[in-house]
Amino acid sequence: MQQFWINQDGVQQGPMTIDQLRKLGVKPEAYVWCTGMPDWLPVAQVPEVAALIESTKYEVQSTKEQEPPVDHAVAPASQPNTTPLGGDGGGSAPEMSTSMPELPQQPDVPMPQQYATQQPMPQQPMQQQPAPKMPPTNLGWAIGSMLLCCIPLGIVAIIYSNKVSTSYYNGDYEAAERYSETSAWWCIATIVLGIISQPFLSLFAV
Amino acid sequence: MAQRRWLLPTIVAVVAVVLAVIYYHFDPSQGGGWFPQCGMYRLTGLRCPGCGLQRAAHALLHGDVAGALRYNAMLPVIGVALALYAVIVWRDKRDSLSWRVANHPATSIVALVLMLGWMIVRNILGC
Repeated sequence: MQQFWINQDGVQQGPMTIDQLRKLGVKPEAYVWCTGMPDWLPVAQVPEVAALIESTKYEVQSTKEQEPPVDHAVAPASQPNTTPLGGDGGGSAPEMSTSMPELPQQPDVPMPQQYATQQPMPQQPMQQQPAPKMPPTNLGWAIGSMLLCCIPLGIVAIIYSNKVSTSYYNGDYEAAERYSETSAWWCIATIVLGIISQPFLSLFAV
Repeated sequence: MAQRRWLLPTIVAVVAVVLAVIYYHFDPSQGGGWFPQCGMYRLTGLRCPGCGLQRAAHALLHGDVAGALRYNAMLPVIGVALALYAVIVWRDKRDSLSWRVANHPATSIVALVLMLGWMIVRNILGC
């Protein structure tokens, strides 16, 4: 999880995760720094955090309507590292690593190319459409046919029925459907072979 | 839709009753020749995990629990597990713990290992 330091309203806080930043509330004029960045950047130039600006306003409004004390009570308690910066902007908090750069004086810092290439794009939210129903694994049929008919083919059926749930929980719904069908066919093959082999079995003496 | 839901359980129930009547009246251990035989046992002489289930069913239907266990000691496990599994899958309550356990990838592996392990054990012990 990426950790961010944030400086807004003359107060520097961190390290904080994206979720903590969202809770804190990010103002458009804030500065942000994280490891890998050569210097502090205006929040608008850090895509991960910039995405919070709009949503923060919305969330703060909605939470204020529901439970106003939480927003204010939690913030100071959960942020013991809060250290106000000196007026000259040069005061560094004791717990900060020495590698952390000082807050720039001029607001407009061009985004370094190095940072732009280093930082991964923010993760896309999980796809919103609901997952399809899991196809039948046919495990019962596979075990039944394996026990009652012919062992080796039944094992194949069980393995394919295992692949159904494995693929499904991996999010590969298409493969799950395919494996479900495959395992069903192996069950049928097991049963058919078990039946048609019966007349020939008497040829073998034990 | 509701009728289709009951189609498979009905077929299974009818088949089970018919099989129970057959295995009550005829004793597979007395031969007779027309009972299905295990291909693996015939070909290799090894008992498969399901070997003895017919004779065990006959013994059980006559109240001979010890005899049933002698023919296939895993009969109760197999029977209860398969029946439970069938009911769970048929109920199709996808949020329930039982459904998620029954359809967990590990379940099929456990079942496979149990059966192959039982096959090894019974061939070593000769039971």
